[in-house]
Amino acid sequence: MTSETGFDVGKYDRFPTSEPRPEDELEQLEQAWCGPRTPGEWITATNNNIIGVYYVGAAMLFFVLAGVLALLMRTQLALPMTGFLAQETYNQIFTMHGTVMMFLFAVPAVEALGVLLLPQMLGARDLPFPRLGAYAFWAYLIGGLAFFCSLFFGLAPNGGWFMYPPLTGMTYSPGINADFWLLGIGFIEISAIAGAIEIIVGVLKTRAPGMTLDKLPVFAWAMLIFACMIIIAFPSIILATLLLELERALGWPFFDPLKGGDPMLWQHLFWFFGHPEVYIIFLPAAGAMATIIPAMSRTPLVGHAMVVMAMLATGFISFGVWAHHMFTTGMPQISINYFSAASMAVSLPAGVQVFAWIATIAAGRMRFTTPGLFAVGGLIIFVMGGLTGVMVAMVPFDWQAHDSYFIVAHLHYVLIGGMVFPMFAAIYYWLPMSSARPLSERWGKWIFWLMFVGHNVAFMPMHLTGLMGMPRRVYTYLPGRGWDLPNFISTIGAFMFGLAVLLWVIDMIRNFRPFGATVAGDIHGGPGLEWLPSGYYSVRSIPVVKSLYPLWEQKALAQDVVSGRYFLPGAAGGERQTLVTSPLNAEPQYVLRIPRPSAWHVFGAIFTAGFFLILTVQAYAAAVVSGVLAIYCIMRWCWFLDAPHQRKTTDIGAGVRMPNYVAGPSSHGWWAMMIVLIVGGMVGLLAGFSYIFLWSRRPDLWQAPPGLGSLLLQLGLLAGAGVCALAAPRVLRAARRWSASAATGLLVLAAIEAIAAMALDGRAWWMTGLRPDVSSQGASVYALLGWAGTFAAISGLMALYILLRRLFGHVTPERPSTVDLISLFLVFTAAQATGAVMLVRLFPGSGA
Amino acid sequence: MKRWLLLTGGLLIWAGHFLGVYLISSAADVWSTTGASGPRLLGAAFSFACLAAAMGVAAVVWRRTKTSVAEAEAWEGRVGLTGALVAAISIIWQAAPLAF
Repeated sequence: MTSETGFDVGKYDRFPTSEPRPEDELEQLEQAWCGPRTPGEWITATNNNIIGVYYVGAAMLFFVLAGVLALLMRTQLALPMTGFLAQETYNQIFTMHGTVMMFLFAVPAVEALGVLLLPQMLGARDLPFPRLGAYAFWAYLIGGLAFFCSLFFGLAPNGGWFMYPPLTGMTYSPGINADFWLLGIGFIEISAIAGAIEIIVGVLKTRAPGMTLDKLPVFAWAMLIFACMIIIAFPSIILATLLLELERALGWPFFDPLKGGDPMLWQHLFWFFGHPEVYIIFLPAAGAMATIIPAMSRTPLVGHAMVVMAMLATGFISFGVWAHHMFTTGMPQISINYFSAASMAVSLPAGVQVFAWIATIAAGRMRFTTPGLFAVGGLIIFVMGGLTGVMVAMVPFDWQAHDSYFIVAHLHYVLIGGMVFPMFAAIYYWLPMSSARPLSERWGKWIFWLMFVGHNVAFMPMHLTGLMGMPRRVYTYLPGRGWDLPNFISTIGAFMFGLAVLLWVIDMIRNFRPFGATVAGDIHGGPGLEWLPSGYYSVRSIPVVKSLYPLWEQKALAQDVVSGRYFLPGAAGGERQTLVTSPLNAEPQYVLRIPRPSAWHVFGAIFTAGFFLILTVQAYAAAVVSGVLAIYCIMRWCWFLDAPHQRKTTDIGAGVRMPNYVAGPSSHGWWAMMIVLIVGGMVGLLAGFSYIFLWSRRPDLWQAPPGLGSLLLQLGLLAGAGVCALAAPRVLRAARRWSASAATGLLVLAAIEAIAAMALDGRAWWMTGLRPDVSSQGASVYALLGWAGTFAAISGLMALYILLRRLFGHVTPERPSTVDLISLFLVFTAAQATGAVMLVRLFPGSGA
Repeated sequence: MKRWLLLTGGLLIWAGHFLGVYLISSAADVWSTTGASGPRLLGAAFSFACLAAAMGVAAVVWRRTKTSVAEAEAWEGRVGLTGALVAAISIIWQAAPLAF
């Protein structure tokens, strides 16, 4: 195999080592990775074993809460014309049920599973940015709980989980209920993106040596695709919520047809996120299924390469089907036909996966213990949901079924079969990894059957009520339409499902014992690295992986790993360390020092959540204070990054030495920054799409841009910013006496140029008389420039940060990472601003 | 980067094809009509180009897979090849509305 990094893979043959390990090595490792000792340390903890359990627990809490809301709705609908819930309360409850299930349960739950499982599965000590992972968790928990509590004050959103304008505009939703959704969800999505960065870099850069792409566990493949999809899809909902909030708060008419806006823009932006969201939820669950089914069948996954291809294909095509939610909106017929064809084509990769699971079950000897039952039950339900999915992909049928209970039935079959059942299978399968006791097998079977039967009793009749014409989201209905009996049956099924969840909660209380000295371990005979004996430090030594199923095929692996006969068997210098490897061949590149817990990321999360929540209640001064405190905490957290190392290299075992510090494209920080920039670029791209879309709706309302003379000045400034930012890392690496000061100066100059360019361009538009609240052109021009300007403002903060680091002597040629990353950000800022400025000036180029 | 492109090239073309035909029809909706023959011909030409590109990726991957001895790269080749073939079929399928 061609080496990816120049590392001699022949060195793998030195492992497992045979010489005796130092006596105090394990003790030092345990000391370095010790768990929390005080109550405060349980909050500031960053270890994935702790944060992962918190994260899964919080996601399941939201699942239970949203489930209770579902039972309230089903009680209201059990009989016609009941008065159990008032109409407005019902509206808030169905909105919160959908929103909490989608945003606070489904995505965080699978992300949580990734945080908990991936390090062990990949043979890493922890994920590469543990504080970012902990920040994402606390931001999600605080924001999520505050969002949910809005229900108790009658302030919960009431416009449905996809919040279509004009219903959610100020005219029809004048209170702050919709603002809770817009700011709350926008913020929670930022937390999801932070988690996705952690997962992408973790999967690509912290795999055990030898774990090439063909040996990468299917679950890790699924998590990688899932996280990449978040990076592409979630910017769309961030932009959409931002635009609607701007319309509501400041009157910028993006969605108001009277001023050139168009509610269809919301639908495009929402569903460009919303449909991939379904696959974002499904793929990790499919990855779990493709892991659990082979383990329970005791045979390798049939068609492994095809399954990976199918997951990749699902990821790609999921971005080409968003408008199948909009078949009834009057789009051009040929566009509808394209989306219909693409929606049917999705069944191809989904079918590959389902047939691979069935073939694996057929090829092996399936054990129908609780995880096996949930896996097979999920498969059956998902296939049923998939079949109705093909039905609604056909446009004439969709016109009949749209917004009826048929759709409610379809989406619950897909989501419960494609995510909830696999999630329960995963909990039953992997819980012995984190708990001293497994869950009860006897209770598990009861829970499965209650849930399986309850699901079908609840949702099967909804196909009929839908076909009989019952629209979704109605809080009651008249008797005598044939809807009474199926609704009553649905309610019985919902309560059966609820009973199953209640029994599961009781069983968790009875048996779940995390954070103890021992764990139940590999009771299912699983083949992955996650079943190696482990502690807070994950694996005792990081193995060389030679198989997709290492524990089945590398017989002495567990013993050798526990004896410290592989990579990084100790904690050199008492540091927490993990091995960073190359993205394709997983060749060792350097040793990453994992930061120890501190409180700054927790405070950062509290103040970030505070900023968004206080903004919702329109206490602007307090929101600004909270925002400033959040920035301060995040800067303090970053201050300890890029710290000096006592040693330049570490012996990672068998005489192989690796550097402790790497900058540039090999470093994990570079990858994280690139992903952040992709997120920013996606928002910018979609803002550009919104601008062109709004122009195409009402070109007659558009006025001419400012003269081209000022454009040249702005472009010159932005080009200067880009050149200065590009030069800074090179100047620093020149390693002269003045290098650090010169590099700092160049970055500061670049930031000033970027800020000046954006301020001048904004002023030029203002001088033309265009105002953001007057027309869709004004709104979209200032939104686009505002987005680019926000990046320029962040560049200003970064300039301040690098200046402070220079003053404290932390900018040196030996540690160029900080300068590299700020330079990358500034180059991107200049490029994005250039694109934005040129788009609004040159397209359409003249007025009506 | 080259290995990533060969692994996902076919699927990227598939996604690009979808966005391309959608953009062509949307632009046609603004400047003329979606039923006009010009945009339809453009859509068909774009589809043929995408189909050719997907088949090209499949051919390159096929040739590399035959010569590659490393297990990991051969596996990547299999994934890339099936991806490119699935993409080719899907492009034909998604271009079908142009015929009606």
